Amino acid sequence: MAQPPGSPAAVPYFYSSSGFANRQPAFMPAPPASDSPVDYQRLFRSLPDNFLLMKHDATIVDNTDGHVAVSLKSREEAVGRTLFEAYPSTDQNQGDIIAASHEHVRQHLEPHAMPVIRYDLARPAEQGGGFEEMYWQATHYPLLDEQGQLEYILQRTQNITEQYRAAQEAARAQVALAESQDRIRFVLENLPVLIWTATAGGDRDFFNSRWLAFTGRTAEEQMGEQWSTSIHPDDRERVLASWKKSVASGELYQVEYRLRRHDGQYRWILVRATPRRDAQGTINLWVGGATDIHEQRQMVQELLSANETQAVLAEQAYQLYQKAENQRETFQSLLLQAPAMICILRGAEHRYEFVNPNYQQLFPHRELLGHTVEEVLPEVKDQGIIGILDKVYQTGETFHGDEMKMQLERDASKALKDSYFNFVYQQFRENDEPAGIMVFAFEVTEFVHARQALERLDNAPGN
Amino acid sequence: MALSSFDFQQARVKLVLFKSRLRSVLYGVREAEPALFSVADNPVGQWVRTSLRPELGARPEVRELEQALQHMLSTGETLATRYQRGQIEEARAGLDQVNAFAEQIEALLMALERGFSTAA
Repeated sequence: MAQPPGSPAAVPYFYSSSGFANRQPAFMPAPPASDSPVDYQRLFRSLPDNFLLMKHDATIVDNTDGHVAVSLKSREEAVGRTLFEAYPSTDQNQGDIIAASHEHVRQHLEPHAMPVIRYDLARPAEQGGGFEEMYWQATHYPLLDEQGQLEYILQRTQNITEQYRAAQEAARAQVALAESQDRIRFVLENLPVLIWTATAGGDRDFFNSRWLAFTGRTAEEQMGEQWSTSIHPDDRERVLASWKKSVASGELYQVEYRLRRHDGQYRWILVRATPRRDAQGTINLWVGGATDIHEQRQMVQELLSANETQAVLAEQAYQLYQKAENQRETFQSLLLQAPAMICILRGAEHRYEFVNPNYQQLFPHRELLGHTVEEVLPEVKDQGIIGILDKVYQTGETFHGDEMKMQLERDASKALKDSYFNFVYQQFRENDEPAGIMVFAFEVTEFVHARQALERLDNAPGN
Repeated sequence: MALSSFDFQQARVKLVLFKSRLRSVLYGVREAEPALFSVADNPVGQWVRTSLRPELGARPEVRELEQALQHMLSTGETLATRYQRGQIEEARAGLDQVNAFAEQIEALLMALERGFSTAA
């Protein structure tokens, strides 16, 4: 857009490509009347403005020094030519606009302003050189003779850069303001929050579309204090009291209540509102936002009842556990004190899980608990005992041993001693599966030995 | 009777129940009962007194646990008061502190349980 002076054309008012033949005799203004103390031509040329004086047919008569300076064309080159010859237009359109302006002045005998154009002027080297962006407006004024006929057309070209810039700036500010307002409105309408504003006096004066969609009411139906008709009747009094308190004190407004949804269902919402204050600290607006916390609240409620149920169940389970534990202790002490040899072998490998003192006395030198029978009583394997245990474990058939003889190492001597037992191997089950074998035994070695001695005596020759 | 993992589970259940009850107060689901914030009447406090202290009272973690419990309960009470005064969001934001004390208590329970089972 910038037109460095010297490149002909964008500004027809000022200059041309020159060299155009001067067909009209030069108009030389009459010398000042000798009786006038003022040299009007000098005065005209010195006016601090850009004037170009033309005859009604656009033939240039004179111009001010200011015009000479901005048009960059000497007065001598311009005077006597028509405006169109002296300052040719860049294009037909621009020429037509000037001609139409002239025609307007000729027909209506009134001033006519032309559209604003941009024409940059060279900046002096001491100010950094280059070009300065400038805007101009030319106005054509009619000058009439004594009969009221058009005699001259006066063109005044004004530098309106400042006004133009101010107007541009205002337009830009207006656009920015409109954009900013549009942006705020967009944000208010599209946040996933129910938003409202209220006056300093507490009357609601705006609801975003989410609020209106939620309640299914129009803005008119919610304005002022009408919004409170959507509050659950049980909550209304409390909510309004809280709102009035905040409006009076200027404190943050924070409240939870049930708001009627468009479908008639009341939903719990959390509302928070903040006052906006001016420079003097006076409240001039309240802005409030509400979120639907219905599900959240329900979840808290459900979680609480789940946790309470769990606590009750845990307590019951704990009581049962304590009872079972007490019973276990009772049974264990009975087994421990029983005047018989008792042990419990768990699993298919027959691992010692419980051994009472009477049983342990059989093998005072051996660590039984936690070990399998085969590990700690290797001598019984060849005596068929493991086989019997396996069978009891697998079939569940109780085995009764009657004065059964076993050869056991009963001390650390490595010597096996004949021992006789009356005993029971009995399978026990857990969760309907074989779990182990309970052994219940009495040693009858002395009894058997006594009987054998008696038998020997009976069978002795001589009886 | 010596403590078992079952006893520690009981303590954990009571701790979760306390948090759940406090949250329900701060969400307006239920009013706060006075016993909720009392060390003597709170279920966790009762468990400490009747189960933990008689068995493991000499352990330093027990003293620490009692202090954390005291802090958790008084923080909870402050939050409930805040909620009643209409400072709803502020009260809920404070649940973070309660959670921190609860985590400390859980860590101490775990330490006590571990120590207990290795000692057994």
